Amino acid sequence: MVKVKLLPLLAAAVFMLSLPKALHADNITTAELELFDVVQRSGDGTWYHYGAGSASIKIDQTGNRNVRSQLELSAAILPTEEGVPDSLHTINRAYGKFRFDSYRGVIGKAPFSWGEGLIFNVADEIFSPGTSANLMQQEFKDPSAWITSFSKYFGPFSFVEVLVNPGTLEISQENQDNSLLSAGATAGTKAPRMEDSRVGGRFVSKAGGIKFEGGYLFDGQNGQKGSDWDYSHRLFLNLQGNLWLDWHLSTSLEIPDPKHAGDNPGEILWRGQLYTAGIYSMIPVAYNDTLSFRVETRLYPAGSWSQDHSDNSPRYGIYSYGEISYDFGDGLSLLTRSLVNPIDLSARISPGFSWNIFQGFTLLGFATVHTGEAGDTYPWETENSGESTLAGASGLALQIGSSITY
Amino acid sequence: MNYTQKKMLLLVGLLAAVSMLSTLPLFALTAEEVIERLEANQVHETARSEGRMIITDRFGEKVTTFKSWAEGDEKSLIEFTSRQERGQKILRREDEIYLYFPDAAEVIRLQGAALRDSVLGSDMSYEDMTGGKGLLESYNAEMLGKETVDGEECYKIELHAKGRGVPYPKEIMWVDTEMFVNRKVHMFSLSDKLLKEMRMEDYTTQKGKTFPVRFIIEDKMKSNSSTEFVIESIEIGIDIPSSLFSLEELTW
Repeated sequence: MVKVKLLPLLAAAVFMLSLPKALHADNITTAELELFDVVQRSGDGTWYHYGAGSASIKIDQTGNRNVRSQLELSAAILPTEEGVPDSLHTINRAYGKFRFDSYRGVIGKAPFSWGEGLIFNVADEIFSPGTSANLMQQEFKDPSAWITSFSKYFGPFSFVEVLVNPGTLEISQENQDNSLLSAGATAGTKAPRMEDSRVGGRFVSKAGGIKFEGGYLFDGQNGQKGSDWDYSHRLFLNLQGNLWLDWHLSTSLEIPDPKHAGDNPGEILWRGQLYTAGIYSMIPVAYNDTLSFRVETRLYPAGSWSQDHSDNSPRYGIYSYGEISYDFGDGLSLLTRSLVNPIDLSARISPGFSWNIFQGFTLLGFATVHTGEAGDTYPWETENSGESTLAGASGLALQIGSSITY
Repeated sequence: MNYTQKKMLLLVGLLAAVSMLSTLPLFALTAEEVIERLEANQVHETARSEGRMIITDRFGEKVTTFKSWAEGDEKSLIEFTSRQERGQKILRREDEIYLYFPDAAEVIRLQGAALRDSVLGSDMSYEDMTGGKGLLESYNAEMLGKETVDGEECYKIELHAKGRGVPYPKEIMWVDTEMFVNRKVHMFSLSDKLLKEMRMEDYTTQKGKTFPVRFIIEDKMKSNSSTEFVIESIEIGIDIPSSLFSLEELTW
């Protein structure tokens, strides 16, 4: 039996239908479904077969060219006896933005997209999918974060942006059961400290055909991401251009809080360096087909450069991502993606297809196979039984389904 | 011959010369001149339009609606408004094209050969849809004569690519001798095989310029495959702020 808690989605749909006709003119509602049948061999050798997917409703404001807002509600669609846990319902996006002359402001849960790079991106190290990216998806959507940002534009390709990303509220279970929660006003809600915020800015411009992007981020949430640092300072520089093919090159320097920085500046500089680079190209083939490829690399010079099974999640010195796709020009695309750790010689390889047959209807099929041994980054088998049953995390997974937009 | 006779003869000679000169362009227009007059009709100082693209294949129709703004042939912005593609934008500035995908909040910069990639699976490339280089920059033109298309007399002009940076190595176009608009265009492969046919079905005239507002591109290599491009409303020579052709507008 399929039980799905879609209360927020239904509430939004009912709310939309109850609106007076005049208000309908100022927004557009779009529903998206991604539904899959999944067969999986997990890392402990067990075979699974289940259905999975997601549903979302997106409401975009359209009335005023200088004000934009978007609300996107989504839920996991899983066939469970108990229903879907609350954690699998989410508000993906809820933000408003406005502009006046060359100024722009954004507030709310909005997509965060700094720097260049689909999988590896030093400017977006906090939110980019990185080495754990799920390759069995049609497109890699940018995650959203609560931000307040202001930008000032100079000419067609230059702007400065300052941004604040506050820490997250901790809400007790008792308060989670309340139907409505007013921010910061409910007993049992623990507000984040001022120093838990992220604060930063960036400058983007273009000269001589090369796009430059430089920025700084104070990361007060570093300690909450598994690191024992209280906070860190992150500086980054990104270049992007075209020389026969599109390329990007980025570097960042992360400096920890004084307690963890140590006394040796050389050591701090060495351990804080991170580089990402990539190339991308679309090549017309015959008169209607297109061959695209993308290669990205993440380089951490101070990382581990030999196979290391002693640590649960060693920070290896290099990872790579490759993608090649062939578009037949009539909506059918074949592709292969892979995440590779050249040090432990393991890889996550994911061939697939997408076929946009009808308007708003796309057939999708993906497979993922892991080639490493137990303890590697991308293992065929895991040492601990039941360590992870997430499709695409280890072993083998096959999924076929569809994406529907209406 | 007296003075009056000389004067008469001079006048007749002058009239004959003027008369000959006035008829000269009808016979002596070169292929390049025809294309220049064709492009003068099609390239606008500024333009704002709304339209739709109907892609037909063996599975049926896909209808994509859009709004577009253009300044000359080097700056344009297209915003898709149909539900499935809503918010996707294409910005062209000189030789670069930027694509914006709102779900990923991602800007992709296309240069070089990627400009020839198909827009949303249609028979239009990014370069076709956003303007760009003039025909004479990319092709050598040769006048083949005159033929009648849809009952209208047309110049038949053959275009041969100067280099490899174009989607079709050879094209033949039929240009109306009166209105200087395309009536029909054939696109060929390197092996001289007919790949696509473009037929203009409807025209409009604004501010002394006549240009097509409905045309159909048929893929001759596939059965039941075509793209119909319809401009439903257009205004030319209007004020458009230059800030419209910017990264700010693209990501808005």
